[in-house]
Amino acid sequence: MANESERLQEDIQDLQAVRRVLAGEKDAFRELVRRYTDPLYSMCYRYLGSAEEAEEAVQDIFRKAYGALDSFDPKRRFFTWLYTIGMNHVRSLGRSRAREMRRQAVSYDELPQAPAGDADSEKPDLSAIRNAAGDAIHAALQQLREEHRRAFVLRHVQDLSVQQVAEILGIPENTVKTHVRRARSELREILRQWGWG
Amino acid sequence: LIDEHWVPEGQPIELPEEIRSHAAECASCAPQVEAVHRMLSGTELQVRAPEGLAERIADAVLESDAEAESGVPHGKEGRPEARESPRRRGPRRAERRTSGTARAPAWAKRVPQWAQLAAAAVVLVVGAVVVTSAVIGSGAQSDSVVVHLSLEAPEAEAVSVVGDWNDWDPKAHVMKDENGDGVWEVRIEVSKDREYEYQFLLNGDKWIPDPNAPLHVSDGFGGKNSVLNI
Repeated sequence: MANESERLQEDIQDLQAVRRVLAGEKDAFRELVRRYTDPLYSMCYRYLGSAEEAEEAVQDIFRKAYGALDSFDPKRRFFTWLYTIGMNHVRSLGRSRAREMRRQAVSYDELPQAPAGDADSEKPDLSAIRNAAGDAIHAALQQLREEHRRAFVLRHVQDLSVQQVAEILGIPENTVKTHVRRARSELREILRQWGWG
Repeated sequence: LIDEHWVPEGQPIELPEEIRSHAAECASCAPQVEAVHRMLSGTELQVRAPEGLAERIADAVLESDAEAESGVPHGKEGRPEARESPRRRGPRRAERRTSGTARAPAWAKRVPQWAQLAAAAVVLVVGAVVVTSAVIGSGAQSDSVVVHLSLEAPEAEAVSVVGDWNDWDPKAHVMKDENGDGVWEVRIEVSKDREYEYQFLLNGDKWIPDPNAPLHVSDGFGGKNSVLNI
């Protein structure tokens, strides 16, 4: 994640790209897509739960952003504006499904295991461990309450500040803090249910 | 491990040496330790997009824009074509209106959208009765009724109603503004003796409660769901 001065530099570049697109240089939109595909994909993947859905969602988000570009207020940061569109989009996609996900407890037996060998004493393969750990994190995040997951994903997956998360979600900063805190409590409980720790 | 090392958010954690050394040698514990460590410390939770995704997306967005652009007149007088919103390409809402129907008033351009909606809902008065939802008949089933829902949103380009009865599916009940008066309407069939939560979804991404519903509850996202009680 960029530090604040890098962030400000990116804000300026974003604004310049937006202005160029609106002035007719549409290819400048590619700059914005290149800069924000990774973070948006990360958010969508953690939120929606599948690579395929995440790819589709990121494309839809950019499509919406492109369509609404002339309504972008240059006093705002482009990335918070884009994230707001993105979060509204995944919220729309995931809303009904999220309820079901919360009800479907993932048991420890269903969790991915590192395919590193039969014996516990065998030295594990690092990339397999990281993949399995990533899958486990994913399974745990999917079980969070939706509003808590949104705040947690923006705060910790996207590494945004509380203020930025509040702006994107349109909720007070204290509510963001509460949601993140509750997400962490839920994660702790999920891990405990899996028998981890 | 969890209780002992659950630290305030964003702070790195240092796992005990015995755990780290065991995980380094144990194939079944290693992923657990790795996952717990990352979740506890809130680090390394990002994932990278597949290679080439950004270019594919940019191509798709710009290509669809070019297709849309080719179907409409360009270079509108007084306003450079290039500054027009890509979303508004194609038949504009104002152009689709037939003669005799009102365009959005000038004040609407100066007032925030939420305020327009609230004001518009108040305007939606027939006699002395504010109409936003009403049971208009029996449904196909003996235990169901047909409800008419409406929302005045002249600036919206698409409106749907999402709620418990359609599993919050934005495509299930798309509202229509057939006469171009800015009032979006839909009829839904729901079971009697039930309470439903719902919202309107504008342009696919803006959620608003029914401004005139008699009851609202928290939607769990910092907003309000309207309540339809049949």
